[in-house]
Amino acid sequence: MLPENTETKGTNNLITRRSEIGPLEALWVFFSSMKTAIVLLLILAAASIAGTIIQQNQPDDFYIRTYGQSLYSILKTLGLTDVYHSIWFMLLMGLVGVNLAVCSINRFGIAWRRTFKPEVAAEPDRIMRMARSEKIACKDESGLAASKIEAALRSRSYCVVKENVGEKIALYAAKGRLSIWGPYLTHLIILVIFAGAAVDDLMGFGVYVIIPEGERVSAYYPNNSEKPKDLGFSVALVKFKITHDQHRNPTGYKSDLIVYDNGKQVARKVIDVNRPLSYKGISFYQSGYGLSHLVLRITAPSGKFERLSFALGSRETEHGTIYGIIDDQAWKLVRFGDKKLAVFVHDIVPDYVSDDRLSASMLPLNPAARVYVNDRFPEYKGLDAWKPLGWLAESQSAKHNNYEVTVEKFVRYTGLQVAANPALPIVYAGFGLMLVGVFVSFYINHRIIRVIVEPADEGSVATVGAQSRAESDIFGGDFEKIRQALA
Amino acid sequence: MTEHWGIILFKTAFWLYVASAVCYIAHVIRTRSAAGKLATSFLLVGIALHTASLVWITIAIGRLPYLNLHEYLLMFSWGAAVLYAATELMTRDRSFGTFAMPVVTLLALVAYREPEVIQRSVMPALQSPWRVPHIISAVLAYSSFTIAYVAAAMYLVRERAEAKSESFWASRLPALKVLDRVVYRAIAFGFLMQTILLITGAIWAQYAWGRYWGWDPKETWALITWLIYAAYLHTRITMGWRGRKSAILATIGFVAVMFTFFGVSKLLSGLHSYA
Repeated sequence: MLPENTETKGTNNLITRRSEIGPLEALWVFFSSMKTAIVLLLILAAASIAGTIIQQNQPDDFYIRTYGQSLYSILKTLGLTDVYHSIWFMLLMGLVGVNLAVCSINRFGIAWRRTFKPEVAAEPDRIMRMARSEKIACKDESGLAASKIEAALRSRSYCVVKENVGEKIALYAAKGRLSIWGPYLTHLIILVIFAGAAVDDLMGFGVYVIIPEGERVSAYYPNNSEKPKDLGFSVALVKFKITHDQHRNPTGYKSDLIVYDNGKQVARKVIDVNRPLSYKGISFYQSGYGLSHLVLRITAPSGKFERLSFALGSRETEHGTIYGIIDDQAWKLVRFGDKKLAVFVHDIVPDYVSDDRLSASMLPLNPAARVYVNDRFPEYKGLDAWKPLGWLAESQSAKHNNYEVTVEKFVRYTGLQVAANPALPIVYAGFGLMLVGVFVSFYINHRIIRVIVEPADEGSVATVGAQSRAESDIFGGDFEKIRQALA
Repeated sequence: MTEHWGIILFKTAFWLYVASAVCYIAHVIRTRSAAGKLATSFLLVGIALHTASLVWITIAIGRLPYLNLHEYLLMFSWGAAVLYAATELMTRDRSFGTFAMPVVTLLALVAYREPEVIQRSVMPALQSPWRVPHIISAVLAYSSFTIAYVAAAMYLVRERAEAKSESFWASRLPALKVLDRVVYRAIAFGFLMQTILLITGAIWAQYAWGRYWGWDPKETWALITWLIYAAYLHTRITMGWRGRKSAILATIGFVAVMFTFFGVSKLLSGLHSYA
């Protein structure tokens, strides 16, 4: 990789002159130093480690429980509970960025000269100091010898430049010059990716939005904001469905979404994890689900019916998610003229199979409610006044005193990560170019062969030297070819 | 088609690795090439069977084995064996095997102890076309860092032996310059693979969670590993570090690899909880 020892001399000179230069230049020299870069890399690594060991962005009481009040205050002050968004971490990233930029600018001239304006002439002594070198005597006069070497190198697909230096002829041959730009591209692209990420951070967003079946959303609450922001269109959930295998392991979480813009349906897609929907730069990612509410239909002996809706909530336990009623009271009263019926939803199971096995899994595949009714409420409130109707899954019903209670529907909701990453195409392009850069850096060898042909008593003498970044000798074939040409 | 025969193939490969490791050790102790040739033969047959077993298992279960550490080690140990064989081929030096094959065998042993693959559907988050390049680059990155670590450890052992004039290791291990170069070559390749690993992971995360980078412990540790090896490459290429200092940095890098691989899943909580 860049730069070979011969090329780093320029930087060394800069460093030795430090005492004579102004503060701005000193800063420039500081940021162009490789030591600064290495130290920054290692500090960045250490800071990142801190953020993985201390759990990030947890509620206060979590930290107080884990670390105690005083230690927590220190952690909080140092930004260690949200390392990656703390000011000092941003500053660190900024320093890495400046370092990359300064190094890139500094090395541009060097890379440019090495690619397009190489120094052709070189003293034989310098050639002999290259990684591999050899003096080859030739019976031909120097002009012919030089031409033969040139032809030999060209046949090995080298680019050759020839120059007369007095009586001597200098040749400069290079191959794999793309490799010079590999590290350059890599470092520049890291800057581009940094910039893309910064743009996404400032101009993009990512929020969690819940949509119950049959409802639509047209706004979201940006992080740390109470004020809703308009999407500019609306998204409705038609249906949420979990697909599963025969062992009831989930294989898909599918939300059937419709996008409305200006009141018209403009898109419809069944999204799944890894298969988002995008519209006008905003993407919707499947990332959660649950039961929103339970709708019961109560039919009176007269044939009239009323609907009751119970809001449902969930709680995470070590066994999985459990569901329950989250209304203030778990019972509701329906009136039909002067008659009335109280309905009480006692509990919910997510995947009902039978009264003795209850739930087959923790997934809400076949939710059921255990319902009690009381037609003498509120005069009789005792436990014995409530009549059990048993477990009712969707579209099942049960009767009591000619009242019919039907579970009309468990309304599901989908949890969507709604995100906009305006710089995503730049970041993706950066990823691609980064791979090219790293590959070119390590797997294309920049080979340089220098030759100086001098007239000698009998014909001429060629001093041939070769250098590459490869740490092994890869010039055997080239030297053999030159020897053959001169023989 | 069940994965049963695939597992039998893997178990056979494991015992061939054991035999190979024993022969490499015999080779370095007695410095006789008969044991060395036998070691290489066992290794190559082992790799052939191991490859067949991975193909068999992948077809039988309809996916690469990666759902937990044991499954993943089926592939990790394969990668380490293949990359070791490539190292031997390139350096023409069998004494690497003395250190490398026991490590390969150890990785295979963890997979061997619980070789059953998981019989369940793949959770939705893992159903992505990005998973194949992601997993393969992980296997190649981690196995080449393993080879780099083994060569770095051998470097440190031989250097110490030379300093103390102990002829046993000094005469039996590859030359310091060769070891140093193997560390570099393995890290350069591993670094390219780690870059692919991070990029495919980022794109996958974008599709699955709507963000290409979220500082999840697993991705953060993969980045930390990348940063440490980046430091190794910069110190070597532009600051001219060689030998001992480089070998120590390569060792630190490998500690990060191991923590990313085992530590994060076992000790830290995050989204990348499967493997």
